[in-house]
Amino acid sequence: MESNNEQKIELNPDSLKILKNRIYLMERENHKTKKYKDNDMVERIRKLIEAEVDKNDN
Amino acid sequence: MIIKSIALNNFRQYKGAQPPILFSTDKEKNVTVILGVNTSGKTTLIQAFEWCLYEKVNFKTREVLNIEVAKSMDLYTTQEVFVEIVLIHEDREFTIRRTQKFTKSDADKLKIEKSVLKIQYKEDNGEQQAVPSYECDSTINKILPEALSDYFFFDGERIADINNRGDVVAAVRGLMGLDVVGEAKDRLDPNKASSVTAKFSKELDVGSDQKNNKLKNDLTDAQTKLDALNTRKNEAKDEIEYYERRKEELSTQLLANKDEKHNQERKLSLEKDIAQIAKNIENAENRIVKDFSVGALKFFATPLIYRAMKVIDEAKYNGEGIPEMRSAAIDFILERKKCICGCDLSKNEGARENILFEQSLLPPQHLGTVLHTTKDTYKRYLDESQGLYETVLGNHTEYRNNRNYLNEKMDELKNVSAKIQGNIDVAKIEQDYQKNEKTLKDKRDLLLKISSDIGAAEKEIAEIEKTIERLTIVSDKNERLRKCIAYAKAVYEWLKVGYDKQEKEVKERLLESVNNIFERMYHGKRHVTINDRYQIVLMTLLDNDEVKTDESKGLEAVKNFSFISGLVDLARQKAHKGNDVTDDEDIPVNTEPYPLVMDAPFSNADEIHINNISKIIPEIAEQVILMVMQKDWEFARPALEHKIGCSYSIEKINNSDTNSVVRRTM
Repeated sequence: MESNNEQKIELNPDSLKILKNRIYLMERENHKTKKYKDNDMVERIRKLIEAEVDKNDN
Repeated sequence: MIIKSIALNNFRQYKGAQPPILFSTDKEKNVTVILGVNTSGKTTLIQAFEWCLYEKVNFKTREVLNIEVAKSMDLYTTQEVFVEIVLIHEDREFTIRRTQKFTKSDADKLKIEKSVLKIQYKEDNGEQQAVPSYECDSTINKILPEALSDYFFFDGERIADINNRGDVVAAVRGLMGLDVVGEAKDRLDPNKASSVTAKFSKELDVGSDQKNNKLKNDLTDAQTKLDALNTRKNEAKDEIEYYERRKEELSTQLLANKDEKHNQERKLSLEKDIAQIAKNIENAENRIVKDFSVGALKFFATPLIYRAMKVIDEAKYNGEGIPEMRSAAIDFILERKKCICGCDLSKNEGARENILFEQSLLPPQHLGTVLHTTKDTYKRYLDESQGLYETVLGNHTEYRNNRNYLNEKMDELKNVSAKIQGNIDVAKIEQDYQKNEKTLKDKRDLLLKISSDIGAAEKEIAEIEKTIERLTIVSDKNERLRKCIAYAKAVYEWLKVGYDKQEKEVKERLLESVNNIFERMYHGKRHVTINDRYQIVLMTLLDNDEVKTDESKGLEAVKNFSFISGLVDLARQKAHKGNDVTDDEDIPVNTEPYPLVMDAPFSNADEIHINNISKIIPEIAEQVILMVMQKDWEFARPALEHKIGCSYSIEKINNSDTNSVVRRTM
């Protein structure tokens, strides 16, 4: 089944700001500590985004 | 980061437990001066910082234990070396101590244990907390990454190449916090197969159609291909940078060795000539020896031979016998009674008597034949010795001429060799230059090809993504994923735009800052520019054209000071601006004010430059720690005196090179 996915997704400016802030701070911290590897960082960012999207939907 | 103190125990020439050196933390009087003569231990203090933080030492001998202590150790006793630094980082006080134990295990042997790093920090309530050992290295990296340490702990010798190092770009990006943004950007890049965005895309439900699902694999393949191409592009760029740097180095060497090249070519030609002349001399010598060995006896016997021949000519003897005939042969003929002509001698008495007469003419009965043969031999001798003199004379003349020629060439070679400096092989440099040019061209062509392949791969990815987007079925799961992708892409765009903007801004501000500082230190027609590799190039106006200029050692020191100072200044300005996200447009960069810890920073600068540098350093750095020689200090003092918070002097105990102490003088 094909769908019409042309419509633009509206982003919540507050959520976007939170994500920008958290992702950057998370990266900054890890840059110093080197605690997490690349894959772990990707996973952490992914969870952060999902949590923010879910928060908005609920 | 502000350094409060450093304490040393048995570290190199600092024998025993030294009282801590307290550094000025006063914002106004932010300079600490440590004066010392050569070999007193100024450089050792810098090394103590680097050993404590990174276990890095630049000594010829890697052992850090004081020599006197090591020598006086009894068997099976242990001594300890430690350096302890107290510093403030992000408003928190850290005590960092590295300890290493040495045990005398043998008469001439020290057992060295692995050094141990311990870090404590002060909680807000004043309580000391220990950092777990497994986190010590990362804590140090948090405070001052090792890669950046060379820009803040440096000595006069190292400053010379500080701006020519290959890692300048990485260092500047690191200092300005751009590397953090770069890493974050990469992790969200939709074109990267392993990025957050790509992972969300992979989960989009495109139904159960195999063809549709294959598209997702195609997308991953295209992204992986693009990743590889981008990696290769960066490698190619690095390689081009390397070969461009190498080109500059080789051009400089060729220019500096223009005369050297001529001299080296002349030297090569002279060496060839000399080898040939030596061969000619050897050949002439061999010919003389050979001719002499063969002809000398006959040659020197010539007068005697003439005299002997005269005697033979004057000798009176009747007739001559048959040459080469022997008397025994006649006896044989007579005995067999048959002549060689076939005549029977028993029946022909006349023939027999004739033969007997011939026998009487032969030796030993008669000398005539002998004398005849001897005369022939003498004639042969005379023939053979004729021309020996002329031949030997000719060869000797050739030998002598070649000897003179050889001496001339040897003298010229000596002169040319004296002009050639060191062991520089200009022909080899030229060869390397040509080889480098070819490689550089190949690499540039490769970069062009990779860039074109990247364009094609990006187009392919965009098309596949568009198709997937079209095929994506309407479901809650897909809706959620599409939102996640949209957020990931928005953060990625923010980071991308911010990164480019920040990098441009850093470059512009660094150039401005470096130029301001350079102008205050140097009063002349030159100014500085910064190239793409963040390297400073001195320029001057010549017939309305900007041209690169030569650098004296003093000017090079000023240039490098300007660069370091510009970096420190920029980092401080950014740190004061704050590190938190304040609005959507700007990415906050993570910077921290850093101290400048310098050993013999004035060693290559003249008195005017020392004065100028001294005026600027305390203004741009949060804290300055200087290790200076007394002679340089005289020129720096007037400009720095009002900024000094603490001063020390290093004293050699009993003028020893292995026992120094630091005493506070202010």
